[in-house]
Amino acid sequence: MEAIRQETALLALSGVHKHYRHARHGTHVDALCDINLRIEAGEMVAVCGPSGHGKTTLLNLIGLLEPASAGSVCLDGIDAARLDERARRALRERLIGPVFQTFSLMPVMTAQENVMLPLLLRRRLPRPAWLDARAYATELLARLGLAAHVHHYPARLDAGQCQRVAIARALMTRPRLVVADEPTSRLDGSALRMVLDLFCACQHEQGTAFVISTRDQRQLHRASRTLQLNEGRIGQRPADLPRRRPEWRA
Amino acid sequence: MNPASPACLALRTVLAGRTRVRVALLAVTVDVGALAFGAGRLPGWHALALMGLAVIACVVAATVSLRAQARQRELATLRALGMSRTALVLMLELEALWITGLGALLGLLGSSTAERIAASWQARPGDPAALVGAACGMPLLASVCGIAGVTILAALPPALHAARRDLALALALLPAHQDP
Repeated sequence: MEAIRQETALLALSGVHKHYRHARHGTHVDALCDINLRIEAGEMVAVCGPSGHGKTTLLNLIGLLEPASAGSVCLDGIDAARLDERARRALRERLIGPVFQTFSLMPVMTAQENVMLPLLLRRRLPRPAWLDARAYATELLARLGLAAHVHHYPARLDAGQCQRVAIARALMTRPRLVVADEPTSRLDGSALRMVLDLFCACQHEQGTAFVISTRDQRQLHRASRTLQLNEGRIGQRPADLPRRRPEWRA
Repeated sequence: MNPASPACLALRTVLAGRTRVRVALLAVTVDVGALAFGAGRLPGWHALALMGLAVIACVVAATVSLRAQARQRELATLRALGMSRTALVLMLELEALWITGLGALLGLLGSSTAERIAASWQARPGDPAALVGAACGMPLLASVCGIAGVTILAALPPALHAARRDLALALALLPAHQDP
């Protein structure tokens, strides 16, 4: 794996294209065109743009959930295109914490078990590590205002609470890169503040980088950079977007 | 026990399952019960036993296939979070084994009860013990092995198919209803 290390940035996309074949007509649809992007550790990059213009596709490529049609996606200097399925999964486990748009919680597991799921799936944890993981999962849930819901199943949680459980699950492994697809779409003011505070804490304490697709202005204010995605191409940030600090921020 | 191990996840999913699991359980229970009750009593029961195994295979294949289809997003999430394809196939196989195992157990209990009732109606004291004895030992072991083998084989194609699905496509699906 060392032999194929190429870049030093945490994430580097160069000349990335993604096209799909239209199921009915057999024609090619260009979802992403010539994407070049570098993200360093500790950055928070917001991706915004109209619906259907490639935000989720870009996040899927960064999260190694699907391969690029052309170009390279390098994570921690490793070109993902050269890896087989198993190595890609290992790289994803080691570096990435995903937050899916539809939360995707396991209905048969409690909130705490859902948060611990990425760790539980990977290996047999020794008892001390298990206890540490459980304590960390509980702490994450408490920091997101869900201390009273640790043992609740997703069916008993509302959409905003499920979204916060999904966020805690992404942070559970202390990933170096969190890839979040509209992670705050169902959150009200106080819950949003808790999530953004936790993101900032992870940025500063652990050097976690974030790539977040969002349309929420309050979240855009906290981002170090904002990318505008239009028809599959990265453009400039719209000039009319206000850069003032949000009122609720101290 | 690790709550995310394939065996534990499979059992919890089966216990939480609703319509399809219940229908499959009922089908296997009735099938095994009828076979156990009719074994040695009906002419040509060997052929009936083979038909029974075929019914179990169809029930298992349909159940695993439909449940995997309904839970595409859930299964894709497990894979995206680190579950290997092998573990996913194992989990779906174990779900099928839990269903047929529970169904077979209920069927055997039901047939044993039916034997006792039939024996008491026919006033044949001593028969129930003989019948219970006949149901144990090699024939029972062979039946259990046969049912388990059929279950594993029948669940394998839909489980492999589910493990090969495109991750990004499955994750983009809208949330499904709770019951698979």
